[in-house]
Amino acid sequence: MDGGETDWTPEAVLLRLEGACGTDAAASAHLFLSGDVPADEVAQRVRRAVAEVAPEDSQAVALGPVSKLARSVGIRAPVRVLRSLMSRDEFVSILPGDLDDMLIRPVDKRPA
Amino acid sequence: MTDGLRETLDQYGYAQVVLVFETGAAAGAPPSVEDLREHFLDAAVLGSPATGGVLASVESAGLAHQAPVHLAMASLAASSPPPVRIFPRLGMALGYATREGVEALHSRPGVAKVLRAELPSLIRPVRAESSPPPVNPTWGVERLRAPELWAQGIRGHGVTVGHIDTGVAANHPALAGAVAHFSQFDLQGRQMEGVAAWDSDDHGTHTAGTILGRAVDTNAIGMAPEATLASAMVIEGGDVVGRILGGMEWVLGQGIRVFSASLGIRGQGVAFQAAMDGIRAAGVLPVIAVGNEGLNTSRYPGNYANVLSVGACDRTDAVAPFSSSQQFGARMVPDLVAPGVDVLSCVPSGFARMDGTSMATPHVAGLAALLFSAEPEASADDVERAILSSCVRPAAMDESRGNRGIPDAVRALAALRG
Repeated sequence: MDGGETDWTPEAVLLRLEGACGTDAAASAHLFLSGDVPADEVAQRVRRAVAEVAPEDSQAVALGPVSKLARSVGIRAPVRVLRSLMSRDEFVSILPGDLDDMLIRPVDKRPA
Repeated sequence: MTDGLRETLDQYGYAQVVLVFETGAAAGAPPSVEDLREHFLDAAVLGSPATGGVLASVESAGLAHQAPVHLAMASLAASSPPPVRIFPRLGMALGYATREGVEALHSRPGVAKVLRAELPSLIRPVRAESSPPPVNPTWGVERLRAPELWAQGIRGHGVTVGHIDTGVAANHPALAGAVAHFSQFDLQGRQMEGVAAWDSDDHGTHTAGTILGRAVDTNAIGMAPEATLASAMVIEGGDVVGRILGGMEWVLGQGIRVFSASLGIRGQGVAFQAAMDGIRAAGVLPVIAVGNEGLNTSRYPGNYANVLSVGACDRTDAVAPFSSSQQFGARMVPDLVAPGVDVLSCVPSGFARMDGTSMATPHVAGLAALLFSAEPEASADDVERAILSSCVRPAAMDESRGNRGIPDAVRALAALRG
C-alpha cells in the first residue's frame, strides 16, 4: 500500500505546476474561494481578481465553470497569474484539473 | 402455515402476523392481550417504540440475541406498547411473532388462521406481488441488520441518494427502476444533455447496487432496495476535478437526502470544505470513503469533520488492513467501519465481489436512506447521530483503526425514534 500523501497546500501545488509548465505557460486548475464568499458572488469576485492581478494578461486567462456549491472556478492561465491570484485572501485552495487518483479503486475485484 | 409466512420466518426469524379468530356460536369471546402476550415479540425489540436507553445498551448481532433482549424489555412493560393489538369487532389481532410463537398460535383454541401481515399500500404500493422478498442478503447487508428494518416495511421508499462515481448501469436487473436521475460530465467538466445512464467502469454500478440494489433471483445486494438514485458520472481523465464539482452541484439539485462518494484525494486539503458545508447546509448527509491506503493515511473530503467518514471491515469484524485511518488531534477518521471485504454487488456484466472502502461507504449510505425513509422528518444531523450511536466496536477491534466500530440498523432506528 502506498501511504504517501501529497502536500496540497497552495504553495506546494503552485510549485508542482511551475515544475511541470514553467511560470509563463498556461495550466488548468480549479481555484477555491473562502466559504465566506457568497455563492452568487464567486464569478464576479474571480473576474475582478483576474482583472486586478493580470490586467495585461486578460487574453491569456480563460475562466471555466463556476461551482457555487464549492465556491470554485475552473481556470486556464499562466502559472504566474495563478500564483498572483492565490496570494489574495479570498482564495484558499488550488487543485490541478487533471488529477488521476480521485477514484478510490477497489484493492481486489473478482467475478461472483 | 402459508408459504408467504414460512418464507418470511425463514428469512428474518420473525414476521408480522394477523390472527383470525374463529367465529360462530361455538366461538367464545376474543382473547385478551394478556392471553396472547407470551406468543408475541415485544415491539420494542423491533425498534418501534421509544425505548432507546435500554435497547441501545444491548449489543445484539442478530436474532440469536433476541431472547435476552426480550427479557430485558419485560421490565419496561409498563412503558412499552402491548405486543399484540386486538381488533374484537373484526375478530382479528396483529403483532410480531417468531416461528415458535406462530406454531403455538396455530394450535391455540379459538384461532382460525395465522397469516403474514401484508404491508399497507401507503408504504409499499403494488410491489408486493411483483417483488418477492429476498432470502439471501449479502453478508454486509445482513451484518448491518437491514433485513430487520425491511421486515418492518422500511426499505428506503421515498428517499433519493446522491451518487458521484463512474456512472451506473441502469439496465442491470438489480437496478431496474432504481436510477431516477443521471447526468454525465464531459472531459471539460460540462454537463452533457440527454445521456442515458451507463457505467464507464464497474465501480459505480457496484457501489449503486450496495446502496439500493433490488433483489434478483431472491439475492439481495442493496441496503435500501426501494430508494432511488441520482447518479453523476464523474470518470477520471481530463478535468476530473471540474466534473466532480459539477456532479456534486447537480446531485444536490435532485432532492437527495444522502450523498455517497467513494472518491477523494490522498492527504489533507481544504478544497472541498465549502462543498461539504453546502451539502450539510442543504440538509443532506455526506457519506464519504476514507481511503484504501492503510494506517496513518486518509483522503479528503472523507477526512473532513462534517462528513460521515467510512472505513472497511471484513466478515470477522476485523478492520481491513487496507482501510485508511488517521488521527487529527482528538479527532480520528474514519468515524466508523462497515462491510468492505468480499462485497458482492452488481456490475454491468453481472455480479462481482470487491474489496475497498468504496464498498463499505454505500452500505452506510444505504443505511442512512433506510433511516430517512423511516423518519422523513429527521434531519441529517439526527440520522448521523443515530448511526454513530448505533455503532458497536467489537472487543478485538483496535479503536485507532475502527473508531466507533460497526453500525447497526435496528439500534440506529431505535436511537432515531428515541
